[in-house]
Amino acid sequence: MDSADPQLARFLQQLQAETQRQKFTEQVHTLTGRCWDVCLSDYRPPSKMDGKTQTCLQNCVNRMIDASNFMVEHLQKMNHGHP
Amino acid sequence: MDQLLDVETLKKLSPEQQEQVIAGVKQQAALANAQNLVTDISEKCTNKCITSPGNALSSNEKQCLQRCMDRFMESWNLVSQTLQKRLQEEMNTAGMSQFGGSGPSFS
Repeated sequence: MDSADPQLARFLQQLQAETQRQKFTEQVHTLTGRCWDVCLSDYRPPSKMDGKTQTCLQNCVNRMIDASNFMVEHLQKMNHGHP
Repeated sequence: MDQLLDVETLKKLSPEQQEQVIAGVKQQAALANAQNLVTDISEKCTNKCITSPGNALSSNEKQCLQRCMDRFMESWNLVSQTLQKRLQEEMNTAGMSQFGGSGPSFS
């Protein structure tokens, strides 16, 4: 990055921050869709969000990330085994 | 858009233009997010609530839709909090080594 121009550096940093924010929001979007299907699969939505559903949603997010990390690690191992 | 995101082009922008670019990016993101949310809510909630359509929207269906939308927004916020916490933990524990470049979103 061009450190000679602090104004430009700040601008690029802002752009990058916005990009990251957007990536984060898109991940929330994807996870909400999937975990909604997993945790609120009852016929009718409940009148209140109960503790069980909250725990399910929290676990769902964490396990989805675990699963993703697990699969990436596995793919990397496979790649090392057969270069 | 491609031209705007070229670094050489970005370097030539005046401070005012830089501000405009940031504002534009923020606005586009907000629009895209709102559209995503509306699309998602209508898909999920009509699936759940409109299962045997009648002549008009029944009060049962309306109540179902209202609850569904409320629960969906709550779920969205909870997922957002949980994901943020998780990403922070991963950044703290893994530091630069593991998730520096190839993490789920923060690099």
